[in-house]
Amino acid sequence: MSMATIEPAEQQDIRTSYSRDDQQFLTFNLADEYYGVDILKVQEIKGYTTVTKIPNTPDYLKGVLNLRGTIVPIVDLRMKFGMGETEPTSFTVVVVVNVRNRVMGFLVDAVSDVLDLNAKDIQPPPQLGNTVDISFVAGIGNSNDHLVTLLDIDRVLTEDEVKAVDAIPSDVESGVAPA
Amino acid sequence: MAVDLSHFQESFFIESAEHVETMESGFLELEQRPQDLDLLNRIFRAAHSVKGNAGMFNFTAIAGLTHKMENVLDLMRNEKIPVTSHAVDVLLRALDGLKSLLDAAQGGSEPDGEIIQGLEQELQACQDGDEGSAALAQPSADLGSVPQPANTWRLITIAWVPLPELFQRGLDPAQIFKELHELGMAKVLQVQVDKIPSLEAMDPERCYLSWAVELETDVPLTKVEAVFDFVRDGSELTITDCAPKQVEPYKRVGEILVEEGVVTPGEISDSLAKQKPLGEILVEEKKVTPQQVDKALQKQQQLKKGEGASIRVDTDKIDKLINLVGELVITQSMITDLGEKFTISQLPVLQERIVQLERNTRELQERVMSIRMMPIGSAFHRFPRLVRDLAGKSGKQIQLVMSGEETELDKTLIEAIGDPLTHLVRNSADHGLEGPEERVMAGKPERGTVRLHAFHDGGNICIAVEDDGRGLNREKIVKKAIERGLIAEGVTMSDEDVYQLIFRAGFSTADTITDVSGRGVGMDVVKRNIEGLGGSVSIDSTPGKGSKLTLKLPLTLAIIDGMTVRVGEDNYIIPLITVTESIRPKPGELQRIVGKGEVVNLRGEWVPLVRLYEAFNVTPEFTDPSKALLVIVEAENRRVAVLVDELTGQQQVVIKSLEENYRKIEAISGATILGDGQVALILDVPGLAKLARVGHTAAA
Amino acid sequence: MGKTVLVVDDSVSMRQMVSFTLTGAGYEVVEAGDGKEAVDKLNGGAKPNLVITDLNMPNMDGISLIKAIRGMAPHKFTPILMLTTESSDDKKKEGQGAGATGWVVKPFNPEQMLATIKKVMPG
Repeated sequence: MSMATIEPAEQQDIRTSYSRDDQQFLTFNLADEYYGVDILKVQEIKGYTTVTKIPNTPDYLKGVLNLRGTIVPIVDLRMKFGMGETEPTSFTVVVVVNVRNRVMGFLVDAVSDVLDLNAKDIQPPPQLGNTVDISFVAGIGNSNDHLVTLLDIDRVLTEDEVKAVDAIPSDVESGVAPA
Repeated sequence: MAVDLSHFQESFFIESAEHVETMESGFLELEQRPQDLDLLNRIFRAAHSVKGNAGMFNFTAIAGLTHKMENVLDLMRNEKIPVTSHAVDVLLRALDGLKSLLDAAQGGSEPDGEIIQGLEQELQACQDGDEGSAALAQPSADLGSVPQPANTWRLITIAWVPLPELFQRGLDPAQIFKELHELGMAKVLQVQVDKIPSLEAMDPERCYLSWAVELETDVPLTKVEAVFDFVRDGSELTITDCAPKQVEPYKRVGEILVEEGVVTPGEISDSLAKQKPLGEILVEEKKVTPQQVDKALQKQQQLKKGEGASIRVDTDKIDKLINLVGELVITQSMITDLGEKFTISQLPVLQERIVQLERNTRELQERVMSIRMMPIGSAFHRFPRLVRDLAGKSGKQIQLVMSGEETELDKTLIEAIGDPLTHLVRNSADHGLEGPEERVMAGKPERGTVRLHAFHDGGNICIAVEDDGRGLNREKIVKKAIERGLIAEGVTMSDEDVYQLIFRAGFSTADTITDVSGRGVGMDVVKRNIEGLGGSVSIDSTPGKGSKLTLKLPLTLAIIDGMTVRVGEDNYIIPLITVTESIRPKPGELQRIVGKGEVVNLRGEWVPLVRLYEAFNVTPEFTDPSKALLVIVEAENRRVAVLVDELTGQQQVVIKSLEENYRKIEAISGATILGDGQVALILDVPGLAKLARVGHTAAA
Repeated sequence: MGKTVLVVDDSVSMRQMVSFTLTGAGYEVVEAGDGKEAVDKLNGGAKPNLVITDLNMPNMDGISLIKAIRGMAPHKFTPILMLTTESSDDKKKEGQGAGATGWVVKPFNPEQMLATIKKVMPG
């Protein structure tokens, strides 16, 4: 058998094994906890600057930022996860992600590292009963002896917020006045 | 290879619409200048293109009707028949028929087949002689095919003396032989070389050879003949088939039946018109269920609806854009280069390049915006016809003068102003202009004039509709307004305020309701539509001299003039066009009315108040209205006073969507980026007005 | 293969359709909106193996274009197909007289057009 026939097969093996089992996560801190998001969803990391507040939106929506001409909403992940408001420091950054074709920014305390994880190193999310909403946790990873909560970024902004878009009556006159 | 032509239908419809416009304006010009051959040629070309393309896309009815129109036009340009106003009338009505057919092809409702047939007959009547054959010459109306007789293996001999200029026409004898080989076993029996001249006399670009070929094949003779289709003219060609003689050359079934006198051409067209849609046939043959057909049809409709709007752009504009982007890339690479080995001494160079970058960017922005810009003329096209029809119906003589057609504005705006403009033109022709007797008595020319004029005015475009008619009747308007309860009796008003009354809902001054206007859907709708586009309508009238309505519109929907206001630490933009004034109220001018919320007395009128800091839940600098500022805004004929801390300036802003990455926010229409890179929200004035009213009901 | 065809038609939909068919069949396509544009493209260095042109066009019609092409040394022998709605022989004769190689009568289907191209495209 000639080399030419072997080579492509080998290459393919390597590629599939890589994409199947290894994933890269961008890890960041919220208070003293570690979180990770699929690096393929991350568009860029950007320093935190003043945002423009949007009236009548949830507290965790800090406002919007101008990202090269696009208006990008910024979510305070600490507030979203019930960990209190982020106090901006020199490490505070915005992780800009692509969620279902929308560009959003997540305000985090600091980015730490890019973590290579093999599928077998990712634990399923723990069962914590019904009281805690963990639907946006994709799994738990381990890095240098600390745990990293891997987020399912598509779910961090839950269906509630998507629905909120439709909930706004187009004509308030005929609808019920919002509280 | 099966090719799905539906991809290109959209282009076909866009083009056809353009051709229809060309024809329409052409027909109207033709009445004025029946001898203008250039004009006739232009119209003919438009009809011809529609016919040809419709045939390609299998829109048989469209091709059929335009074919008839084309015939008439062809006879006209060859001066075989005269251009009479009757003929133009017929052509215009045929054009309407064509429009409805095009509509139907795009998923609109099917026009009455009889009307179309009637039109075709009228067109036919316009032609001299030439009957009968025309009905059959319908392109792509396939009258069915004659089965080719079966052929056996046989010998066909071909003697061919090609024309000497063979090569100059891009023809190649080798191609011919290649094709013959594909049909069977071809053998060159003889090559005649006797015509080759002496070397000195020989022109290498001419063909001096001739051939005798023997072909053993089972294909019909027509196929063999077809090989020589392109070389036959000028050639000597003898093709002899040793098989029994062909019965008849290929003809359509319909043609044969007509020739035999079994049916008339008219009957054939009738029957063709009855051809069933594919879906029906498939159902009858039980190949599909009616439900499946319905579903497919629905899907087709959806696909049609879902088609993104497209825009035609001059290649010129695109070329310029490409050049600009090129410049931008060069500037960018120069800056990158500078950044890699930057020393502070190079600061002036850096600054200079940044200036260059700014210039490139600004120019690029302008050019990109200009892509959406189209001459307003495309919105004017319908008016010559409209005015002609109006004049015909009302017995008035009306002259339409248009100017500024080349003025460019955003495509969306052009589409949106069509109806309001139509309304204004109709109003002018119907209410504004007097009948001929009345005009003569008033010492005016019998023929009234409606003037349509577009022009740029700063960052806006103005379109004026002006007539030299009787002008607005102040007394009549006041009387009507009192009758309708729009104003109280005995109020003194300025002329301008009185004229503005015609924009109030339910106002119509026509003494009699005519066919053309005055049905009460009126100027209020026009005003609302124009305001919805960020524009305004003003009115100017002199009794006995005429009136003039001017629409003022932004050049584009993407950029607005904004007033920046501040509330606490936040900045907001209010569209300038909605702002009527700003005041600092005196303490006594504010009142809280049960069921109506907070209101402010504005020269006798109570205007609802919206405290922006309350509505948006932010911390203001002032909560006391007498220290803050009230911006009075108006939209959809409602006024609202908006309480803000201060006005900070005016600027043009580019509207950005909040919904793209987030969602719609109540009373906010979008966002923009300020000079310092910060985002500012743009207030949605109608939304604010609603907010004000909702606030009241909640308070009540 | 990489044969190039210059498609000349003022109708965008026709051009799109013809181009689509040709590209699908593996040809490279250069488009021009009228005779003048076509002449510009040819003078600008375009070297098509075949020209397909409409006859009725603004600025410069198909017949004039065919004559112009035949007057250009590099394109003297390039096959030219004209698109025509006229099944009448007049137009065909006029085109042939000007130097057209052949014609395709509208309406045609893509298969017909490809067959005709094969007929005149050398090689």
